[in-house]
Amino acid sequence: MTPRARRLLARVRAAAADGGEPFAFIISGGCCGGTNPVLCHRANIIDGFDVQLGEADGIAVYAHPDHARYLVTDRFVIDALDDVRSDTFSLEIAHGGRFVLRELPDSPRNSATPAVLSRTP
Amino acid sequence: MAGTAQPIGAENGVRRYQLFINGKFTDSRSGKTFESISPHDRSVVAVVAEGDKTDIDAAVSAARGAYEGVWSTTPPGERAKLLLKIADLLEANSAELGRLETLDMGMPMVMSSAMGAVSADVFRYWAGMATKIHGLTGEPMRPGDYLGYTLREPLGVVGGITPWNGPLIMAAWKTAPALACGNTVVLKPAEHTPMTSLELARLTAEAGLPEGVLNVVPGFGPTAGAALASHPGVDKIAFTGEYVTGRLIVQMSASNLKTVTLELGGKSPHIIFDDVDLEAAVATALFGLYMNSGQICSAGTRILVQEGLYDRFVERFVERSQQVKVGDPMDFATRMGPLVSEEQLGKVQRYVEIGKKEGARLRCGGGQPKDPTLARGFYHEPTVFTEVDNKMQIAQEEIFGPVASVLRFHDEDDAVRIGNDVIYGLAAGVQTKDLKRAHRLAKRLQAGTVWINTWHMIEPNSPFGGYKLSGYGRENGVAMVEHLTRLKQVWVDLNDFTMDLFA
Repeated sequence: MTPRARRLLARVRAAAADGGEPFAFIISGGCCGGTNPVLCHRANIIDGFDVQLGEADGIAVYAHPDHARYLVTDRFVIDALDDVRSDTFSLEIAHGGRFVLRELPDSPRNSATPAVLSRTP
Repeated sequence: MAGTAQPIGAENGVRRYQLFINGKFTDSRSGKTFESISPHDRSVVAVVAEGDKTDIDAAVSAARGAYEGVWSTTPPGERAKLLLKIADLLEANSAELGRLETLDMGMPMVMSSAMGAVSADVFRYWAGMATKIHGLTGEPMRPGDYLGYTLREPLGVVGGITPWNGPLIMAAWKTAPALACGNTVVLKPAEHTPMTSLELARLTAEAGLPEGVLNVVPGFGPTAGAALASHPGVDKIAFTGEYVTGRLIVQMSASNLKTVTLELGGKSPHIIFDDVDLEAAVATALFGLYMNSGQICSAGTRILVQEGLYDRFVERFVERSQQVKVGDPMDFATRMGPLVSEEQLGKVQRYVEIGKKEGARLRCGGGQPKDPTLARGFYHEPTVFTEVDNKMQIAQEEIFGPVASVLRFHDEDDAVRIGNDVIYGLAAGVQTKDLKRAHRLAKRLQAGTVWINTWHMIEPNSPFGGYKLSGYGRENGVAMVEHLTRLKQVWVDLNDFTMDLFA
């Protein structure tokens, strides 16, 4: 997760009520709002169905199992844009930004980018 | 009756739009606004009121009032007349609606200028349908003289949530059928492209649609969209968009068990056999892919070419792709305008990088056009990857941009296997001169629409929707009446005696 994305996430967390519901990301696909990380609540995850791809800043990242097959080899970071216009229901949009995926450069995994997603065993 | 809608003004070329609730244009309760930006040069084209939960509450309340007070008892013939009036106004305003659509999302004028007339056709089709919605009569299975009949009733308040890729036509799909069936509507247009939905609202008021029958509340997904999807006063949601928001809507619908129809993404296979005329095949493939800069859910983005034709097809397809006129969408000669947003451009660029890393061969495009007059816009060149394997991400994920993945197949079984090996199932297409083979494939392909020797045939009278992660339910056509009405069974005892079991 990029510093910009972390700052956006911090705003979302600050606005959440104390002891609020935990969050999760689902990688979406298709149509206008597709291929974006959608921030939702952990309760929106379907246990035993959704596949966890990894973790970003303490938030588990999931995908539909058929979609996950193609994502496990993809190495991406979660970045943020200031433009809040989106077709998704992703929760951060109400806090002045939006999460997007960015492809990592070809360089080997960089330890300075700790929230790189990788497949969980 | 409506009639209080104010003409919408423009200052310094920047238009101002308010929410449309209960027949009136009004600011959002919060007073917040957001900007709509031209994808051609990033200039602000409109400042739009930003609705949230409070405004959705007001719109749903207006829609409920109009449903119970007026619309559910308006005779179908009267509903039909109003829909026809709206259609006439859409057609009469087609040039201006097209211009606004192009300003808002970059759709080339050659396409957007037809959208008013195309949307008018949707309203006319449903105006006709309004007077043909009825139940059936039936006989009981048991002995005795009974009359049974069904009443086909409207659902009540229908919420429509539209995407940005075809704002006016999507607004027409979400409103005309619902209104024809006797429902009232709250429409939440896409954030990138609210203008023409609000113009539609203005035209419905001009046509005399009663206050509250159609309400349009632009706003953002997690605030306005989620408020509509989870609202206990909404009876049905029709959504076009991406997978996760689709399933969040399904989860939100659980509260009051509202019904949902979803039209989500696609990664449609365009299967081209070696018996085709090469020029015609290439022309259809270009049309299937590059319309609206590839920003159509049913675009033919996986081009499967039979091995005997593959090299010749690729050579010609790449040549023609390089000749596609990319430019200012206001120019009628332009065939491909910009992508809708910086984000969408970023997504396409990311997939181009992924395609290169995966080992596909980039044959043309892959970047932004060199033309300096397009430098500020979200333009991307027509891009062709060949030697694509169906397991690659560029073959599996919807890029939603002008990027072709060209794959090779051996025979009919191979084409079906590759064609169906994808998480989506919105559309598929076959080009061949072999009639029997074409119809065999139409049966075997897992897609809501199959095109044979054509593409983008989507008509108001034919059902459109998906298999698999492309969603469920159908829009357009008679089948949609099922999604916008419910049945009530009535039994009448015609016997001259009363069965008195408890005597």
